[in-house]
Amino acid sequence: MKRAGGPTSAVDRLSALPEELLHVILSFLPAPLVVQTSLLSRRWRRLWRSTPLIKIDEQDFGISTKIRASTLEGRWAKFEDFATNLLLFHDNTSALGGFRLRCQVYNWRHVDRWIRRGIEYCPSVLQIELVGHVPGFKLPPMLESNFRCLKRLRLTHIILNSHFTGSLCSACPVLEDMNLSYCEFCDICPQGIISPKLNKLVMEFCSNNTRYPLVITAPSLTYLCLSFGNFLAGILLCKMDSLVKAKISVPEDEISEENQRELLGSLCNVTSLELIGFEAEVMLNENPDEFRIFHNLRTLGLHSCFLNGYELTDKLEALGSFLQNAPCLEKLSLQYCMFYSFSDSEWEIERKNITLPRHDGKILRCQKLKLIEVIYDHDHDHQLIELVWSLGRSLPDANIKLNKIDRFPP
Amino acid sequence: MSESELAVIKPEALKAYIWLQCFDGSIQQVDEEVAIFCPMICREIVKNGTGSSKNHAITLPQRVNPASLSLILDYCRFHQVTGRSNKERKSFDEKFVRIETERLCELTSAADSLQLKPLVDLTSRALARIIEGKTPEEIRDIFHLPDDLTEEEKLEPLKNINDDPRIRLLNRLYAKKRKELQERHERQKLKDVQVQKEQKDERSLDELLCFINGDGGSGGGKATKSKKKNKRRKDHAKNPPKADSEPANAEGAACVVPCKVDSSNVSRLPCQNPDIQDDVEYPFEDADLDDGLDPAMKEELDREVEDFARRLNSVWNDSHIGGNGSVQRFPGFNHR
Repeated sequence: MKRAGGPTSAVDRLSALPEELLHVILSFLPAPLVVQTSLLSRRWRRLWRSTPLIKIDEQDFGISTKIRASTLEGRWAKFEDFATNLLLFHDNTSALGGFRLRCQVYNWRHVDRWIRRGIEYCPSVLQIELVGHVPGFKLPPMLESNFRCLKRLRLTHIILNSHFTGSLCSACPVLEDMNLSYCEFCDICPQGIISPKLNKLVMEFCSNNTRYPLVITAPSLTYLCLSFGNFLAGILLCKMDSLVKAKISVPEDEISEENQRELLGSLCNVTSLELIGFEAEVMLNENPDEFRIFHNLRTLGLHSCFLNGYELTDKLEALGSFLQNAPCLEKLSLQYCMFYSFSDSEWEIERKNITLPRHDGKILRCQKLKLIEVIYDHDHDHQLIELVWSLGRSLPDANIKLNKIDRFPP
Repeated sequence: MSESELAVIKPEALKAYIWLQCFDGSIQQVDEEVAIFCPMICREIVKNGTGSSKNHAITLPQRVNPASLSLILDYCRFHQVTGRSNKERKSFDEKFVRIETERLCELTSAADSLQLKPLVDLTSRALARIIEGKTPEEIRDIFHLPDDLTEEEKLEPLKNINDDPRIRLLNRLYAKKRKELQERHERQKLKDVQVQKEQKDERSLDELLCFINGDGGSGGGKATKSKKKNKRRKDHAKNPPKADSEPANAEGAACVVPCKVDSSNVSRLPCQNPDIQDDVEYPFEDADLDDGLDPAMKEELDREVEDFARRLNSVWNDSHIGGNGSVQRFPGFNHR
């Protein structure tokens, strides 16, 4: 990219940008390149040392879970050198903007050291992602004062003991956003996530390996996503008064039925709810007084629900009993619900002709519900037609929209 | 034209406009909905009530020149429409940043002063993409950065940052280790006289380089060639024991790192030449050794820093990320 004109006419507009902007640009570059910018010019010499974001990613050194052990050893040595020294030579030790670490636990001592150093810099955003086969990595015990600036936390493949969950409450006064993936709650005593300012909580594939239910108390929480995970020991939500949106997916047999019902009950303040994998037994509300009323619920999305072997009428009855407790519901979405469908029609029992029964007249009370969206991918055996027919008869005031979306696009 | 015709032809006379004034005095008239997409303009309208007429135009910050302003308004005009899909927006963004780098820098600056964060991120990412994968020379060329680092600075970025006690320790270590190595070499030199031996030393240098740089593949052969010219000098510094004990390697390596431009034959860093090191290190040799650090901490720092000494510089001098083996390009090593 050589310019034809003389270099004297060219202005260095890049270095003229304010330091914060240069740091923003550096934040999009991999760490080794960030350090190398020190070779560009005088202005850039120390810039890398004061950048607010420290990113350590093994991929920048060609390390992945797929390389051979011999290659890994050499590359890890280089990676370790770099990471250790990068942390050693950072200027801003009192309030780091963000610390991100992504690596295997090839050498436990090294990874532990980096995490310690990174956290010592009091980051606002902390992201630790351990990849590959992680043999149970616990966070090193930390000074609580290091968490005083922490606003966003994201952990993957980490074991959380009561030391960690305990300090969430006292040591993280400004924590707003927490995302835990494949994390395990382990300890001999009951654990809980107690956080006064927590706004958004996402827990994916986490498990509760204590013998006690995991209690989540987050009075400021507005968004909760609980995605799969093993909570046979239980999981409870307390004080979810501010909750606006929730997405809960329950894998089979990994949360007890009673627990599911309890979970549902504690979500009664939400405006938008998405449920995945719930079954009729949970929704069925035999005792109307017991079930909570979902006063604010406007949008309800069910995904892969009601797939057990009950009759369609029973399933709809269960759904109906839930809908009756959501007086403001405006939109209902049923995605791959009510019946199994396989792309491979070998599995189907062909019903050549069916009879759509005249409904017994039970109309579900859900006055504001105007739109029901049914998303399906295959319809064998006329099950879709039966569903739509029954929906139409029990909720006559709602429009029904059909949408065919392949679950596994070819 | 009659008034009714005017009314028909310009129905948008009913729309609200905002007037913006650039630093150079030029005034632009913009649809209100487009202008308020910029947080800074929005704030001006709400707080100070400016912008609603030509006489009370909002004065834009100095960093917003007319060219950048028109680009920013294009951006706002596109994105403030709500119906667009993510794909459309992404596609627009990609095309939007395909402009000259100078314009891109100005645009980044302007977007920042108007606090339009999505655009700042977009342009910064684009600038980062331009920087990525290029050698320092190419980057300096593209952005017209001044090449104002001295040779030593390019090769030993740490040298001039001596306000950090760890750096001072490190520099002292340089001196100490070099001294030790020199002594050791003196002793060894008495033993081996043959050229054979020297060549053997050379190979072990390559091994050392391999160890330092991780993948000695591409550079190995060339290194041997270039080393021959300064064999003597190098003998001082290299002669490392095998890569068994870390401190030992650090010794050899500590002297390996700082390096001098060796005319045109340098194809691999770090080559070494003790001259520069000597020059710069002398000031530190007699420095006050008492840093006020207690011995235990000193020892720990010692250990850490001596390894770090060569490694950090080797990383910094290694201008290819990901080891693609193109070792020819190093800063300041233009063929002289």
